[in-house]
Amino acid sequence: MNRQLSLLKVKNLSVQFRLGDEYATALRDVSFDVHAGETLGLAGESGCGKSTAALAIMNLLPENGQIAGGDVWFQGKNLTQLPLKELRKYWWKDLSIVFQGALNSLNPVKTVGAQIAEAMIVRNGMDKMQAWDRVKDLFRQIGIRPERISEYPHEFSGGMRQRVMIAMAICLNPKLVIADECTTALDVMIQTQIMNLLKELKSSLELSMLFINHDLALIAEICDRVAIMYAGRIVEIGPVRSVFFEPIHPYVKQLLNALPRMEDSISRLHAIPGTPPRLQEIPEGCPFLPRCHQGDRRCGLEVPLMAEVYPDHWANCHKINPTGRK
Amino acid sequence: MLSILRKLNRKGTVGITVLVFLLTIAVLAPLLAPYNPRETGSLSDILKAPDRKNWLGTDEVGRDLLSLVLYGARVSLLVGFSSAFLSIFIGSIIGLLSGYFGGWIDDVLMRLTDLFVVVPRLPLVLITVAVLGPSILNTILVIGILIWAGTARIIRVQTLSLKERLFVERARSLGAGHLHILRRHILPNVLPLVFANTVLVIATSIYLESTVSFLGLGDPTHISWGMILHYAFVSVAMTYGAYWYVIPPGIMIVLAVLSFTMSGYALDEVLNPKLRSRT
Amino acid sequence: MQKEGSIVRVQNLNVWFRARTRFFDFWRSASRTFIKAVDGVSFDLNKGETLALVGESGSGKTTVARALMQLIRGAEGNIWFDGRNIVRTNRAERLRLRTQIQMIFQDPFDAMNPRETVLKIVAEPLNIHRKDLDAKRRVALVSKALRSVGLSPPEDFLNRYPHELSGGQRQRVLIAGALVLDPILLIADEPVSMLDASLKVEILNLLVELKRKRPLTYLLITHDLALTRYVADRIAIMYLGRILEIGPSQSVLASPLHPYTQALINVVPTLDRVWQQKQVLAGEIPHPSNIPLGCRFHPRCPEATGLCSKSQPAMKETEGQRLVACHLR
Repeated sequence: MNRQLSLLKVKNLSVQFRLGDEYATALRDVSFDVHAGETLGLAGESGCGKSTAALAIMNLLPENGQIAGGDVWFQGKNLTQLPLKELRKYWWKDLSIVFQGALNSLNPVKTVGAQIAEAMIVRNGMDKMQAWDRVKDLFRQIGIRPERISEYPHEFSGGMRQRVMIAMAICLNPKLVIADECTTALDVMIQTQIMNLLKELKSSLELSMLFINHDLALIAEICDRVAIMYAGRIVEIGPVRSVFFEPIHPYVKQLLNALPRMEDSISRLHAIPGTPPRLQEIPEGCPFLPRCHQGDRRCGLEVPLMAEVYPDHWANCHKINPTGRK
Repeated sequence: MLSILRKLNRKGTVGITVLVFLLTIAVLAPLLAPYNPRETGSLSDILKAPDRKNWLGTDEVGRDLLSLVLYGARVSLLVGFSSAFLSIFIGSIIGLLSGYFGGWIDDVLMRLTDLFVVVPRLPLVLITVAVLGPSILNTILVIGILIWAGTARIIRVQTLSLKERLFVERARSLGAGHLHILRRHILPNVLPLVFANTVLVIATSIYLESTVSFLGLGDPTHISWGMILHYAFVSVAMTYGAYWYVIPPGIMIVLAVLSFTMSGYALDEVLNPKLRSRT
Repeated sequence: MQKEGSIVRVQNLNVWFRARTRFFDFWRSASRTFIKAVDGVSFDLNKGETLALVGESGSGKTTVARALMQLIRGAEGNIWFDGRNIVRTNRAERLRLRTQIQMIFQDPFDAMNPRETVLKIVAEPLNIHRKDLDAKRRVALVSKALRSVGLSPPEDFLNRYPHELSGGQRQRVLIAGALVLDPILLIADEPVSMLDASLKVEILNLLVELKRKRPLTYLLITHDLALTRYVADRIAIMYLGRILEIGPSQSVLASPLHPYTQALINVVPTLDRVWQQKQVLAGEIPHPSNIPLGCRFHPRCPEATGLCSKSQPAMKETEGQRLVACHLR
């Protein structure tokens, strides 16, 4: 087991949403660690629960969502047990989040500089001079001319606004930044610019990150380790190279086969038949069984447990032999 | 339909219950009323306080107030419903055309709508009825023409947003004409909104009818709650202390307007997902 | 006129929108600003091929599609289809065109009326163009279309509502709806960009299959270069309203000619190139109301010269049936 210091420790986290008279289990028994200085990726397709995990960690679940079990430990403190007032102290200072569609999360009637400065003044008790200097610094770091701090959000393009959101997330030097699909809906060129910025910040600020994205290639670019989720569970977790070059779980294998490449000789891409289960009606046993080409009776009865197959590379599937490969 | 009823909250249930009650007494008035409401009494029966013979007392010509109130429900509700439907019909068409076609049609129709929003209702009613003469039909017409503006605006906004939906663009790309799109895509998605709005408009109509009748401009050959109040006022029953003359019709009007309003809001919450609280 | 074997020939297509002038610009005599969404686009679409129009936002690819589909007004230039110029059409011509050219949309959920069943949705084109058909015949044609897109048995799907379908199923239903009139040209506007990775493949494979069994030609509008590699015969790269390069997809992707094409290929995120250094273009795409003079790409081009800022390069033909608009090639 990795003896590195765990910055964030999510243990057996379960989250449910109330939809009408039904309950949807968005997260079931999810456990992962983010160690100091590393970037962990949370990957999966829509509905797998990755964004829900981010919201649960920050206690930002919508009204109809609740944590149904498990804990979130941050630097030794159990966040799920804290009252909102206490938890708020962590926001922005120790733990911050960059959202998708951050394009629309900026206050349109305040200048961007004012919004960032405000966060610092209110949270850190900085005085105005200090705060504005720091804002100018941040702008330099994110690649926008410092003169633009007195402009309004609508004067910036989508990519620029995303950079502003990143600046806001790092302005108080948090220990952990959660990036939730922060490159989606951007053109591919801008997306690459943002990814490069994140990579730069990661090394210059020694950031720890929880990088949530559905694009496995982006995850591979910036993450050290990755957890792949399906139907609310983590099905595989391990170092990025290990997971992508030697995948264990059938879902991960099949998913990798469905992704296009730019440089191989063109063969057919293989879709995964079927669809993910409705979160209100997750079947018994392994949730991937209906679509798995290796499933058998046991898979439909028992939920598989996480087993370590390669060094620090785990997967939960009945068909693996914990001492080695399948 | 039933699934809608199940989803209503308490406000809606109360509203619908009272509504049903009112409709029942209106329909069953001939069976429920103890006397013929037009039957006048002898001198000794004038302005009698409520007693065993007349549960709600009598008016200044000896008519039984309870029967009057029960029969009054018919006209009040009838005029309320009819004028509401008339106004919704006008308002929906204008809203649909305005929102769907846009351009100068929208401009012209919206300016017309603005006019009807701005014009003071009461003077307009007074003048129109004075010119046309007081009758139920005229009352229905006048109220109907007064209140379509609100409906038109609501329908227009909904139509504007529906027009931009991808399934409308798909229909256009398939070669659909305006009629096809309006009939198949816009109207069905606008109707729930119309439905919820209808109930609220009925509340307004009932209120307006009461006002018109109270002012003496209603049809003198028919009894409505407003008319009862009018006679109560005109016959100086209040100075006489005849509370039974004024309170029952007043309460009925309030009940009617409240129940329709509450039902309307509750229905709107059910049918208009944006208003629904996140439960 | 149309070339032999081509199904559509677009010549110098312009779609310029008048930018909304603010009230106080009223008496300014300055010229009105135009948003030049499509600015001089020409290409051929050959029978039976899949041509991908690739570009980022503001490239004009969607506008080209909509011009072909007769969904926008104000297009200028020539669009030759089936022997006629369809850049401006009257109602009768448009109606006829609708049976020959069909479109698939990006958001399968929004493209369906939530109150209608699959049967009604797929039968809609029949309701418009084949009013002569009775209900039984309609159901038969719809079922046939559903079967051809893999929704078998059709009876299972006819009475379902959009919210009862999965993402992949929804797109299949819409494809069925596009096929029911047996069109010859299918314009797919980002057909898989809203689907999960595992589903994208499903739909793309379906489109490829369908082309094998029917005389279909595809115009694929997309921003995803990696996927086009698997389905497109030819690729046209668009930027700010113009085509910069066009040619067989294998050669364009393997040896791009235009610097923009090269830049786009460099940054495509796929798992086989994760740890390569990605050279990214500086800056952002200018607004279509403010197109740079000369070559519209020159402000961001790593190879730009003085000539590039002064004159707009024309499309030149090079070897291998490739066309490129660049002064330096």
